[in-house]
Amino acid sequence: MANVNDAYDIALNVIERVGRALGASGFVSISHAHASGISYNNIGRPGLEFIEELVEKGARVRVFATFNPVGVPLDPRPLIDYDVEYSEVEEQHRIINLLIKMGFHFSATCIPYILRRPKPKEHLAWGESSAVAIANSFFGAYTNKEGGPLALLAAIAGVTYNAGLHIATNRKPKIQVIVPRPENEVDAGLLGYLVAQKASEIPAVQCLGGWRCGFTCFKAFAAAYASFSHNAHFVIVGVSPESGKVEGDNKIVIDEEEVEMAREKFSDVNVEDVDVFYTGCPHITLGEVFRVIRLVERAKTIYRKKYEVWVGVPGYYILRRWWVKVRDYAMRRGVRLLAGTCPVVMDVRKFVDRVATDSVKAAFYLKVRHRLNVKVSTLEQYLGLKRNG
Amino acid sequence: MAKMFVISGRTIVEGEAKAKLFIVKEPISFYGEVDPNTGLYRDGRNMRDRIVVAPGVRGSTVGAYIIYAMKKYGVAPKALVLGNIDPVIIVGCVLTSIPLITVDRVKLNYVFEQACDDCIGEVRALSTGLASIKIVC
Repeated sequence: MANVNDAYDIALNVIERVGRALGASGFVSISHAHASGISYNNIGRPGLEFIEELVEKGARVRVFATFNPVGVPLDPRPLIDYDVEYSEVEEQHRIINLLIKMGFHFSATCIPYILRRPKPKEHLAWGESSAVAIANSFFGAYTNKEGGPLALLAAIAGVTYNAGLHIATNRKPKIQVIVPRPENEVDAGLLGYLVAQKASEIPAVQCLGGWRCGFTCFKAFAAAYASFSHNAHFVIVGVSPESGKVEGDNKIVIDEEEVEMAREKFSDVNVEDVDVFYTGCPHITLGEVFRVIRLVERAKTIYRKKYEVWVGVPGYYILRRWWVKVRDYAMRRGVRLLAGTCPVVMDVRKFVDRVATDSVKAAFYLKVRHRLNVKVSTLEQYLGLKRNG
Repeated sequence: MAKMFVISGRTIVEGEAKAKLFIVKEPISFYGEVDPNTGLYRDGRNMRDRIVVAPGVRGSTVGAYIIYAMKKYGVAPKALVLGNIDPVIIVGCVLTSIPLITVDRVKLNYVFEQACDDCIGEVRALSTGLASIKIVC
């Protein structure tokens, strides 16, 4: 008979040995674990068997635990007229069931901070790179980017190894980066990409004229930055809770010309020629979904054209009472809600070839992983609307 | 005449192994480049029961699951001798108890010059942190 301590002992042992290899000083208790690497088309049968074995050995989570988006939409209805056979749905559902059996919250989202807001200086073990950057840089919580199965094991152990970004002195920015003020989330994403390329150490980003772009831009910056940097932390002066003071005069300036050059890199096609516009990388929330619907409706009344907009939303939305209503309301207006997944982890080539997106992270992965033609643009540009107009 | 030399390194995951070498002169991405069912590397060679010597690893966090799968299917390497490591490869080796040692780049280049896949390696990775690989060709 399996006993609860078997899985706990395995988890603790692995974390201890990984920590030792990385020069960690013991363990640190965490309050929230977020597991990535649970999409069946990534981890395959061995990953499934690994999780299965842990459950057989009595694995239970000891802390609040959530998991990342998976490889198939949890509600296939919005994409029904694409008539695609999803393979491996059963296996994907089995992985989710196993996680829930362990005590994970049914989340299937890359924005776990909407389920539990991290507190400053709180220790976490998160796996999803964009969420890790936001936890560190926006909320001031402490987490490394935990690879593969480690965040899962940390959920079971309730601790992780005490190294890297869990230690305050490792979190200080070492280089100052001056950037122009982003106008919208696409510019912010391009800045995230540029900063990651140019700063090899943790940057303190000083925005000329102040960061007057809100959390949407911060999220876009963080997602792009985390996709291209090996660091999982940055400071935006005036927004991040941590000090942006840099010792020495290590400084980089990024100008608007570089931003335009970066935009060219993610512009394989014209925005008028794309098959679909994707927003929701990282996932967006219900309020933002209604904003998208309103904009599409407005463009439709002006131009009387058909639009195709896909939106990535948290998977747990399908359990909400309003889900079916909202899903169908959106669908009637040409807005398809993809719950608990996103085109980056989906087998998206079956559906489309040319995609516009407001996410630099999504554009990058759609380009290199799925070999699609991409274009970064805001939803307003795709719809031919003026911002706030 | 047979040549023999010993290279020292640092233990990441302890253990001992003796096997033929599997030399790769560029960083390996286990996810995408190695078939977890057969142990075949993308150039057609098989790393099953070999000591993999490479400058480092790169790529997705899924790599840890690939190493785990290779062990499950009985096609895993006997040990890894690498220049650069990341947390992903550490988790993979810890889960499977495959010995993992790091050596510095200069010594690694010496191995690339002097050794081939037919050489026999003997890895000793001690829990004290000291590690070595003896190579006989």
